[in-house]
Amino acid sequence: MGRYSELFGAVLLTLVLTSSVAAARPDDDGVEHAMQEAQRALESAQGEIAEIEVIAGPGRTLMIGERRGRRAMIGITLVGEDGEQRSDDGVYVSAVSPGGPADQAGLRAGDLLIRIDDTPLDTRDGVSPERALVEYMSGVDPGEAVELTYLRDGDRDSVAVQTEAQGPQVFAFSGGPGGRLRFDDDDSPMRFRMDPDTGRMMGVRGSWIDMELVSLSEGADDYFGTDSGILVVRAPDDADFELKDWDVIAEIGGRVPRDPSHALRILRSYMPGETLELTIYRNKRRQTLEVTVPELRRRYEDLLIPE
Amino acid sequence: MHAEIAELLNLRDSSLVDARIKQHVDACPRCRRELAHLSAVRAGLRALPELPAPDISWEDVVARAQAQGPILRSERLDGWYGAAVGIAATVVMTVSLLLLGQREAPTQPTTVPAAAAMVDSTPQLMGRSRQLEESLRSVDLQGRIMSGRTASTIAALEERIAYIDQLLSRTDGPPLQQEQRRRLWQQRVVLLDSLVRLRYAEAQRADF
Repeated sequence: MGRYSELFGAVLLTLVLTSSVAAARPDDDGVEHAMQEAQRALESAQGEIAEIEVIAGPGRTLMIGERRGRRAMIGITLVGEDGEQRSDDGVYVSAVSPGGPADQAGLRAGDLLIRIDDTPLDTRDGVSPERALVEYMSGVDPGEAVELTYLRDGDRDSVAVQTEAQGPQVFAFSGGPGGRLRFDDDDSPMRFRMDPDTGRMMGVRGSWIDMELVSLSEGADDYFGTDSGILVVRAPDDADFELKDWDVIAEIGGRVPRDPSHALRILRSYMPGETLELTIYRNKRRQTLEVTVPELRRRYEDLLIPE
Repeated sequence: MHAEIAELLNLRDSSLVDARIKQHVDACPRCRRELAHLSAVRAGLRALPELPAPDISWEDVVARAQAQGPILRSERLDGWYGAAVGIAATVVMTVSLLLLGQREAPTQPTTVPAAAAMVDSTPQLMGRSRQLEESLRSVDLQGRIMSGRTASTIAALEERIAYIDQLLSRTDGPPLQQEQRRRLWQQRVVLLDSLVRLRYAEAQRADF
């Protein structure tokens, strides 16, 4: 027992030191620089995508869109057009969404999907392989698993892919005088929506950005009661989240986070005011916390960037 | 208790910060010093000169980069500053490796200059995208302590790329025009490039 206490103490001390040293200095310049670049890329992409989608019409008005994904997705780009690989024998994967279900399952750009579950994906009765895949996926519920059979460099293989719901997409910008709306859900998980009663913008700044997280690995079971999950090295200051240092996040709304960024991706999918269940291990005991994502009301003018 | 880095960055960037935090920073020499350091880093980066892109093709860029060895950080880090960063990085890496003796430095991934992505055709962009996806898989962040801010930015990049993928694969609604598809691929490449750079920078960061 004494030996375990010593071991636990050593681990705890190491983690505390790690945490405090990390907390005492900023992310290094490399990370900071990369973060700033990412921020710029996200802002640029936001405008581009909106323009391509023709959401930004000539009306020059503030437009807010919120989409809640309902379809199951596997996280690949599949439509072939000019200059892209096409085949009558299957669907070429043009790209794989990073961190998405297909990526996690090991699919790669260039793979030729030839079957989904028991349905072959070849051209039949005038129906293209791409259309056959889309039609099949329309009957799949988010969270269901599908088996994809594919060819890679001539070798045939199969993989089970756990589908996910399409993530919520929120677009908020103004094309009018005063500049565009600052869309900073990237630097911090800011979300917007229009209050139907007052017509005012509501935003939420997720309070989880001051957390520090790390994935648990094998052997942690003796100390935390589980050897899988995301260890909260430093809990968010916001008491609404009810998390404490050294909690282990096992599930978020029934979904198992694979790593810290996946945990944030799940957390970010919740909108202000929504309640989520956090399944955690605390003092080796599994328990569930009910957390309501806090709202922060702000007038939209506050968010406009002057031109 | 001192201000967190995320709060200091918010202060630096004039974002929303709890008034109590601001009061503390105003009164605390250590936090003020940290804030000044963060501001100096940003000012230093902004002060770096913009270099005009050379009139060469992407293939030339790749060939030159391969000839010089892999490059990730900005080419603008040259001269004494670049040397200082290099020496500092070497010292940090050496000390880290001596202390830890375990963690291997990640292989520098291939990245794509944003300017190159702007002029590429759809097939070229698809090739870049595939290249970057390969690079992404080579950066392992398993076992790294990650701040919520970094994790959130990675999540945002992944979400945005996933959304572009949905648009590219959309079968309902009017079909995308060729130029629209090209621009979506272009944005995919730029975002993917940012994701590779951020994950690589995070993998390089010393935890101790």
